[in-house]
Amino acid sequence: LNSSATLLPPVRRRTFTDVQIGLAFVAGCTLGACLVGCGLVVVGALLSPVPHAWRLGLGALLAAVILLAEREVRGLRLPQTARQIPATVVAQRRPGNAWRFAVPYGTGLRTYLPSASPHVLAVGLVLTAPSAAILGAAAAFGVGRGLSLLMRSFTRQRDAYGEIFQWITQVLRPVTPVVVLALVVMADIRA
Amino acid sequence: VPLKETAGGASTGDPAAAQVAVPRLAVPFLGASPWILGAVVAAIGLAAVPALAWLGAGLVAGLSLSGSI
Repeated sequence: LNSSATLLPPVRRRTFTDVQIGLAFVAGCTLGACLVGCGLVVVGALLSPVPHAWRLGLGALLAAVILLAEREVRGLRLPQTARQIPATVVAQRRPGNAWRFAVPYGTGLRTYLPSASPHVLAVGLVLTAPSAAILGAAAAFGVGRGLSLLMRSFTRQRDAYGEIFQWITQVLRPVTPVVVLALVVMADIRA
Repeated sequence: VPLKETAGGASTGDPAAAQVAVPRLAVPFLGASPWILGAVVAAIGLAAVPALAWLGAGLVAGLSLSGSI
């Protein structure tokens, strides 16, 4: 299993190295997400001549399709790269390896995506957000994606922490696309 | 003379010191009305809503994927 969790030993032993791994992982995820954010800025700029009302309508349509695709209605599927990051990258528990793992992991373009949240976010950012908001949201996405490993690096009972975190994630994951959509709508209404 | 608490919090039997009233809540910006300050803070907060919403959306989307392979 080449999960990011395997970058840390199951129990807390090498405290400082473990925290370094966690920090390198968050930094790598944030960089990867910001790289994708730069691409979204370009796409958003290309779409900016389209009238705002049209972009809102297109965004609502795409969001509906994404939410249906998440439930695999009528054979719809979410676009994702169903690939794992090579196990050799996570074989050695070093900050450098965590960084190498995290950059592609943070982009969300080279791994599995078990939730439609990033799709909803990308559509909202491209169609309605200003450039600074796109970069800010992308950075926050990277931090959110890497945060679990950083928190794990501070815990002692890592297996127990992993089980609890996994349970919370699985319970909340189905509602996160709707939460993201609500936040995108709120941001657009208040802007 | 009953002991009273002064503005500084020290208790004393001195009647002169007992007359010192606890000052009203100090308001910065030259004594502007708390209502005005509240309105300014609320306006800044409302202006920050879109930015906070975008950051929140990004964070939630990232957290929803954390732990995945």
